Amino acid sequence: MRFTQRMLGGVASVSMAAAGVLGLTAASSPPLPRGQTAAVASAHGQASSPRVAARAAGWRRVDASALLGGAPADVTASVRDRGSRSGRATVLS
Amino acid sequence: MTAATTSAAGVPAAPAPATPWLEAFDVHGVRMTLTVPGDPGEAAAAAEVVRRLATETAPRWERVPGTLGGTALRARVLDEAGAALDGLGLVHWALSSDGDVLASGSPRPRRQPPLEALELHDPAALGKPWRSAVVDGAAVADVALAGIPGWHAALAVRHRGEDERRRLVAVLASSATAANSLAERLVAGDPAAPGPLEDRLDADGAAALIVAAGRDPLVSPRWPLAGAAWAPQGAPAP
Repeated sequence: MRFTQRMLGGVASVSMAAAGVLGLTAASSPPLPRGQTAAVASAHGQASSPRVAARAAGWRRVDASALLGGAPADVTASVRDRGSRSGRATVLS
Repeated sequence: MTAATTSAAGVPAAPAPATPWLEAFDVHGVRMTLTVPGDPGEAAAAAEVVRRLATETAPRWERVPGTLGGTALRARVLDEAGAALDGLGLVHWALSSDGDVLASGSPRPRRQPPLEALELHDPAALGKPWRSAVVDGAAVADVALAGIPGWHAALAVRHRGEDERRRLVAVLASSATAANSLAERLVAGDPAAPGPLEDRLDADGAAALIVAAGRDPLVSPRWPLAGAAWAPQGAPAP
């Protein structure tokens, strides 16, 4: 009985050591739910989510309020003017 | 085609010398404006040059004569008109074509800039640059177009989609043609992943803003925040 317990313990420790050498730990390789694989891969730089791609290329997201300076406009660039035949296209302060 | 001359207050009247002079007219459904500060006679001459270019010359560039259908053609009109104004020796002006803007100098130029500053190409000597607002119903952004002689500043705005798929793109570049080309490509692409155009923006010294529904705005490295000035590549800093 004691011999059997020692044998089983030895086999278990050898298996654990082999797994350690191979880097196969339970914590490092959990099964990923469907759909999460790409997100995890992108976090390691192996694939690109849109946000990661934008950041890598030098683009950055800013708060909308950061785009405004508050000074009155001399000229206006507007999509509303496209094709319009009326109204003022320019606002002068 | 209809033509109209409108003052800053919307009333056909000669403005005071310090008030920018606005000429607005439609060319085959394309609304163009020219704003020139200073002498009304000088402004009227400039407006005549731009009007002739837009109404008589530009339609011959189109495959279907008599139309100004494409954004690329409208951008070319702006660039050619800007070059014509430069040729007249005008430094301070702003042109717009269906909402796209090309500007040079200042809306309120200094009357007698120091000669030394001019020789050093100091843009501050010319006066404060044109302030331009990007409007999509309400103001989305505002920037200063730091144009000085020889360096124009262009701003093109495009949008696509409606409601939750709506996105707006604004591009600052040294010519209307470059701004139009970049804006058209950006608005046609994925608004969340504009990375592939980064090299093109860098090469042109351009800057871009993308506003997509439900997301914070996305800006390229050279987009000026909080109303700061954008200057064409190679131009003296404002």
